[in-house]
Amino acid sequence: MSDPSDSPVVVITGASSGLGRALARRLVAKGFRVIGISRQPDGRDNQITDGLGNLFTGFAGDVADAAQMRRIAAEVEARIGPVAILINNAATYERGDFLCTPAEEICRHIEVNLCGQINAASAFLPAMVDRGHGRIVNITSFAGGDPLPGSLGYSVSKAGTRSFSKALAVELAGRLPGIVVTEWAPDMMATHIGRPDGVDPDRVAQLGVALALNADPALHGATFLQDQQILPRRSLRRRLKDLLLLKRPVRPLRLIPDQTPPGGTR
Amino acid sequence: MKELLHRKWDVIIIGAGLGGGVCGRTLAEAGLSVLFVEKGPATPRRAENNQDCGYEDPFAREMFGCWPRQVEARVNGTTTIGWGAQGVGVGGTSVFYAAAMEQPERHDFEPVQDMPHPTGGWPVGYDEFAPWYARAREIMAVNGEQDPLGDEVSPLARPTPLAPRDEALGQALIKAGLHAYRAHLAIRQLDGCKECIGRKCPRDCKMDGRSAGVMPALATGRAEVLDGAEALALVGDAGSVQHLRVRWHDAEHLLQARAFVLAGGSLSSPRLLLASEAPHWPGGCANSSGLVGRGLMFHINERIAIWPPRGAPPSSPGPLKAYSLRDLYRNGQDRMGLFQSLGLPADYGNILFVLHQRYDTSPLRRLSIGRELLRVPAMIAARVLGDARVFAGIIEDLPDDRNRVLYDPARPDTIIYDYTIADELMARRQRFRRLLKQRLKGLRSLWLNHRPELNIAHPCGTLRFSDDPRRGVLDRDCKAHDLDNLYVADASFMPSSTGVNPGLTIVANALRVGHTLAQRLRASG
Repeated sequence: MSDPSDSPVVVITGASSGLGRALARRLVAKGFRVIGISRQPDGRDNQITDGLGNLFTGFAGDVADAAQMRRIAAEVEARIGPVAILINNAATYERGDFLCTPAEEICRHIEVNLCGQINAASAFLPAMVDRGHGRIVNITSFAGGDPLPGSLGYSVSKAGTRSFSKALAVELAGRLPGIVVTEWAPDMMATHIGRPDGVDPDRVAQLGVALALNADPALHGATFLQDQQILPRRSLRRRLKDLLLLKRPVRPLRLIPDQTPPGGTR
Repeated sequence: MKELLHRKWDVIIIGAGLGGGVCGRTLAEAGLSVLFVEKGPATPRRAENNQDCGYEDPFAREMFGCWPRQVEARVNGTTTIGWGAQGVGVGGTSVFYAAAMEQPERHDFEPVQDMPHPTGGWPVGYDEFAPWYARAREIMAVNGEQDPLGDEVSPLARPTPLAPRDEALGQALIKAGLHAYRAHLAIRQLDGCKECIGRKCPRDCKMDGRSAGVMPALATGRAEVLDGAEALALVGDAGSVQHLRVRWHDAEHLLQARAFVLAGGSLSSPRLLLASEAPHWPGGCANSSGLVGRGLMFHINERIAIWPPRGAPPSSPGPLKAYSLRDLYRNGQDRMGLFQSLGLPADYGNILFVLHQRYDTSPLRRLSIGRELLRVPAMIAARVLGDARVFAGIIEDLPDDRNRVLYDPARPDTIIYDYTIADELMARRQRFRRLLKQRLKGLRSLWLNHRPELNIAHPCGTLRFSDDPRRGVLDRDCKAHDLDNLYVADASFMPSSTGVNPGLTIVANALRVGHTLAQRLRASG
């Protein structure tokens, strides 16, 4: 992509650190124009734009604020270009004993992690719908299915994002085959919301880039855990029935990490 | 949106489908203000879905443009409840149609030398309608070839070349002594045209009630759409309509206009009139004849798969709805109809769809595993039929006032009709099948249906026009005989069903009605 003003636009929420930042670096290196939305557009220690060059544009915004997301979406579409891909990455994770945590702090997880995805999708989708194509990757976690004590807000919010991805896929399926929504639960990472012995977010971002750049309609409504597609469980009865009906079992898809080295600094 | 409720419009169009859309466009282009009142919600312009949305939930169905409720059909005395073929939303059913735009023949309108007309003739004859058909082809961007057996029509754009396999099939039909011509289709064939037959076209390529009607109307700046608005009743006095009562966002409103155009389709327009019963409108609005809802007609479909000759090249991309033939359009005194490519490949999905439809009306319908097992015969059929092309013959239906649309105040948005296939039609169908079998001799073919199939996408005749107010609801201008400002612009007006798909006739008549109404409204300031 020689002329940067022609390259597709990718929006990443929560781009100032962790996985969001790693995704931005890798996508910029591949020649995409990346819009990073975060509450601190210049990143922790004002480093976000370091080395990312003019392909990266930061926007200050809180995903929990629907009106702000709409304003940013309008500005991006008008000033930068049509958004091809939205990666709903922004998330917060604060530990706290439910018995001594104010409800507001619990609910803040839902506002950022769940409502944030809804707000960003709602803001960026209309233009995608008008064009008839677009790609949305919602980053989720299976934490909601097996909650850890002290993570109530995070668990509830992530259970919500799983349902949100499925519900959004159902809303679009059939009507708009050019818009592909996928949910992705990456590995536990060594980020400020992950844990120190987690995986390097830059390695995880290789899978995220591969997933975001694949707009195959077969990925619509799909769930990925790390690099592996998770298919809905089939009961024994269902499996027998499928055998009888000559239905071939569907093989889960596997992501191949993107190999382009990242640009910028961490 | 709220502001739309309080304006006084020149014209309110009830139903933004093919007829309503085109009529509204004519009125708006003539300088009049037009409000389309549409039952369905706004849906994405880029949607590409078909009518098989898979949901039974009324709200979800409307998001796909499908009629929210099941249809109660009493056919030959047996009542079945199932999903119909009607659409909702801007464009109505036409966003799903196969874009067939064929012109009927002289004997469809009036008695000819050797063939009387079942109604004595339409109040507006073939020659008077002809310029409206030409204008209809123009705005619908119709492409195709001249019918070698019929009168020359214009304008006709040049169709995209066929794939070699379909070309070979055409040659084989001609060799068999048939007169195949490229079907007349309202498709602009833009670059990358996906020939959206049976599904919504995401671009302004297929011309339908939306792309050729409502969108150009909105472009004038004088028209608006009130979507998600359910028409409940017309309100007025003995001689004219003053208001349309609608339910919109859970509240009722009275909308005001100088004139009202009813275009909800032949299964719905009469129901609104029946729902509008008042002391001064006994038996319903515009119903002094007692004929509102009566005279319902469908076509009978005969589906048949035809294989290109052995040695024909394999399938490759190209137009699917390739040919029309009028060799069986009439036979002596018999009114038959058009024989045409259905535009659907005989592939697994389409075969399964047909099998499911049959299963759902069979006594086995409650057995869900049986329904799923249809996959197996469908797979086998797809193998066998793989490279065949499916054709459909339609047989003209004639009016009978006992066949009718009913209105149940307890279920105002349920389409209910009572229809009996006439013995005369059954006998004519047998003659049609015999004739078709003879004419297809030498071609490899397979009948796909044995029982008569009602073409439920072609209803018409439920508010027919007639110069005699005792024999028709509408006058020659499609204005209600009983009222001075109520018009109809859908297929309800047709006194007989003709031997072709109703699309072009709906458009031609909607243009004609729009033109007359615009002249009247402008003359009266």
